[in-house]
Amino acid sequence: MPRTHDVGGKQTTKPIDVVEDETPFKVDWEGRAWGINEALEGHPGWTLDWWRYVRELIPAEDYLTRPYFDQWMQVYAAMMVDSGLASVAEIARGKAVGPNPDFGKPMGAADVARISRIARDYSRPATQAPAFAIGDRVLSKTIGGSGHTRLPSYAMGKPGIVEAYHGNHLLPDAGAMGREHAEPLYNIAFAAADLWPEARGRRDRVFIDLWESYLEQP
Amino acid sequence: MTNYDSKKIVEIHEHLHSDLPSDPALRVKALESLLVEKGMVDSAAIDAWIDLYAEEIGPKRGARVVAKAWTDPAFRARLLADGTAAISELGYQGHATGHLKAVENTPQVHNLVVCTLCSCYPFSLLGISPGWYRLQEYRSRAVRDPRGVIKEFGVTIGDDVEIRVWDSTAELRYLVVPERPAGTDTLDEAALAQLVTRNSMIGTDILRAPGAGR
Repeated sequence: MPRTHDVGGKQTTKPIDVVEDETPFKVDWEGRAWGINEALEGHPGWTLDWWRYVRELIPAEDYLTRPYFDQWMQVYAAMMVDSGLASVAEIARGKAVGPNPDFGKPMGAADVARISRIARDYSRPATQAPAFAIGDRVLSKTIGGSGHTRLPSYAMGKPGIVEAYHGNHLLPDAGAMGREHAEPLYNIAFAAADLWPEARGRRDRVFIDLWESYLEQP
Repeated sequence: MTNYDSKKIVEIHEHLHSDLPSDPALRVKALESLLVEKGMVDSAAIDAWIDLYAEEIGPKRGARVVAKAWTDPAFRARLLADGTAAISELGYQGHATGHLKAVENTPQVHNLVVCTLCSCYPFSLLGISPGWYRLQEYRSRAVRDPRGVIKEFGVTIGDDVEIRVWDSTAELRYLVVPERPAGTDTLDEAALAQLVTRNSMIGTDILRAPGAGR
């Protein structure tokens, strides 16, 4: 797959549009989309990383041009079609044709304040001793092929130093396939000079949270 | 059931691309109508989420956390040790803040937060992310040319200061604790919170005392 989403370090010439006030929603539909995202409890098979993977699979012409929350809605639309909850025609017309799925009662307005204070925990009890210790030198792997991963291309095959150990966390690569698997998660410090040819002599660093299976001994 | 089949999803995206109206407002309206008809979403819950993020949840939460860390050394220590536990004292834990890490700016270190792979953001603490945070220009350049990016925001970081960029690849989310501006010794927590900008908590701004100019 093209990894259109994996943009770290790519050269772009357009300036950043830095002038933006703190209004949360610039137009009404953005607020509706955010509300749908929060109010839709969805299908039990819709893991966080399946959601991310479905967004990454949006064709490049749409990924690079369509607005952010619009892409979120396209993810839900695609997941609904995939899971047999709606057809493309139903989504295009906004009108149900087939029978409704049985989901029980949806989240109500009275539930929102309570649910808004729930912070999801993606850590899991340790099942293995971490292979690396803080201060160890590591090398990130070069993970090729298709699939969802959270190892950015710009940090593949690079030397780094273990800055922190976060315990066992759910592995996104498995979550995107509907499997629950946890492994040690670390924060790895990369020297800018090891990532970018033009950064020689700069002492800046980039810190990236990486799972154990993304790393090897140098 | 969910298939976890990327080829099937690519085909579905192509169908959606050709069959859905182009206007995002129409797309969202149709999707909401369908979700309501299918009993998957209650429109009143959508309204409640919008109100919550328009009024209660936003950068002012993060600003209060920062001001409290400046004025209460014990809270600062708790925030740096376990961000999620510390913001939970104020009831600010929620969407995407289950693993919060606070990183502190000092005269020697400036922190900058990005998510190069999507646009991960600590929603329950800082509210809805700014548009620039989600776009390719910021996401691609923040890891490679952080000094240049910060300069685009009108802020110069000295060459003697180390820049630390945090790429949010896992479920950890990062809060930058900016430096407290000089000349604010007489201000209380509430007045200090007024000085803290959203961008300073992402790392694209530094703070100055009121009236100090840029």
